[in-house]
Amino acid sequence: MTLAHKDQRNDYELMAALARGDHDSLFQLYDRYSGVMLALCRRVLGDAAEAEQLLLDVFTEVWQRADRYDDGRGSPLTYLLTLCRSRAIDRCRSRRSRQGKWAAHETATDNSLGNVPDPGVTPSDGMVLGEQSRLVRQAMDSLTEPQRKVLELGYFDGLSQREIAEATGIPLGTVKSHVRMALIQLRQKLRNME
Amino acid sequence: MQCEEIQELIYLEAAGAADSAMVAAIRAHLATGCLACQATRAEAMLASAQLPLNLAPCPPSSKVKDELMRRVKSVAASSGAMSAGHPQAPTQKPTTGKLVMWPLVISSSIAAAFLLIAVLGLQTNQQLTNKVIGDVTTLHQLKKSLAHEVAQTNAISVAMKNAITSEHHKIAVLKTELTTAQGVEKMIGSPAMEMASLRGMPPMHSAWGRVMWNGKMKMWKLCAFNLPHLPNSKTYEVWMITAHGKKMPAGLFNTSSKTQSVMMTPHVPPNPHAMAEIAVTVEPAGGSPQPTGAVLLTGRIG
Repeated sequence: MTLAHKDQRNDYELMAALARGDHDSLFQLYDRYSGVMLALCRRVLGDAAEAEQLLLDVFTEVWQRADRYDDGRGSPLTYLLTLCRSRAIDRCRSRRSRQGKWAAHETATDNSLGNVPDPGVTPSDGMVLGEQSRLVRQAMDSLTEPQRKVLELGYFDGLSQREIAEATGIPLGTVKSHVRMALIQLRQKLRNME
Repeated sequence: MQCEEIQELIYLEAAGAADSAMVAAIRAHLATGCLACQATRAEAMLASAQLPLNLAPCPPSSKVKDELMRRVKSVAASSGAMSAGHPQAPTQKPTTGKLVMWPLVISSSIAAAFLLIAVLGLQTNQQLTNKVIGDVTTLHQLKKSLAHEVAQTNAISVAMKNAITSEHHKIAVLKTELTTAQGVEKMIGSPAMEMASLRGMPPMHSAWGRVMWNGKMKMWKLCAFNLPHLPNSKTYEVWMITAHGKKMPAGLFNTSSKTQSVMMTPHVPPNPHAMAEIAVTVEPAGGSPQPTGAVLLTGRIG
């Protein structure tokens, strides 16, 4: 999942420079990916202000723990999104345990049923992820509705397979097969993006 | 647990739908070194990590970047203060976290560690660079020295080749001389050998010679002595003369400048028995069809 940036260092070079303490690299990565990372935070948390706070914390962590990144395990964007999702899910689960499990879950489930952005969200024309996003959108469109649904409930809402089965009424075994088939199909469609 | 079951769990984990027991089972299996499941997990994780790209990007407000800059600068400043021996330098309060000082201390330590790693890295790089430069210089010197040795070897090789060629030439000459000597010896040792004397004619009174032939072996030899070495523009020419006075060219020669002598093989005409006399004259280089110079040596062979 690499991107070509004209007259700029690539993501791997930025991560290497970041590990050497280069501030500019952090802000370059921020300019490139803060939009999609914030979208992910908002999608998981469902709260714009909390999402921005989380985005800030994630980039602070990236800055402070740049040595954690292992380029053998994926691209910098994959690393950033995985870290972002993990922190967002942690925060979401923590909030659920405070507020009562299903209150937040129901909100999240409602959000997960479509991939339409929040009405208040304006896609950034300056974002460089347009082509990649288009390919992912095409790949997602190729999935069946139940496949897409179980994937989003797991990934964005952090529901376990059992919770997904309960929330959707789909049998547990079918949830598993939907997840497996959806990911295999996505990987096949997006193989050329890495 | 079999790979098939583990891979089922791997897909759930990648989709974020695996519980902690499943994740533990996956890790335990992967720890056994199962390459197939490791590959499946890598593929599944890559696929799921792209799901956020299906979302429309949301540009964050400018205050997020401002705050990030402030944090980065704060960490860098506190790191500088710590390294300068001012551990209690004023710092800004973190926006998150329950303890006030610990994040700062941890952040400062991390930044200091980064700085130390960077400095050590630079030093190591410099040392490596110096070593590489040293190695390259040594290699250049070695290359130069080798090139010189190769040139010397080539020169020796050329000289040796020339010497060998010269020796081969000498050997060829010696072989020819040996063959000639053996032929002469054979000719002389044969009872069929005949010989006639050649005498010098004015102004070459001191010149003399011998002509030997063996009719059975069809070999002829002419030896001449006290004949001066001729310049390149001239040559001595041998003539076979019949009883009727017909002069037939029988070969060219020059004497050695050191010994003023020669032994040569005349070209004998097809009917040697018809020959009555042999003579030597001086002719222009290349010889003449008929004698133009005075006779210097002559003798009867009939």
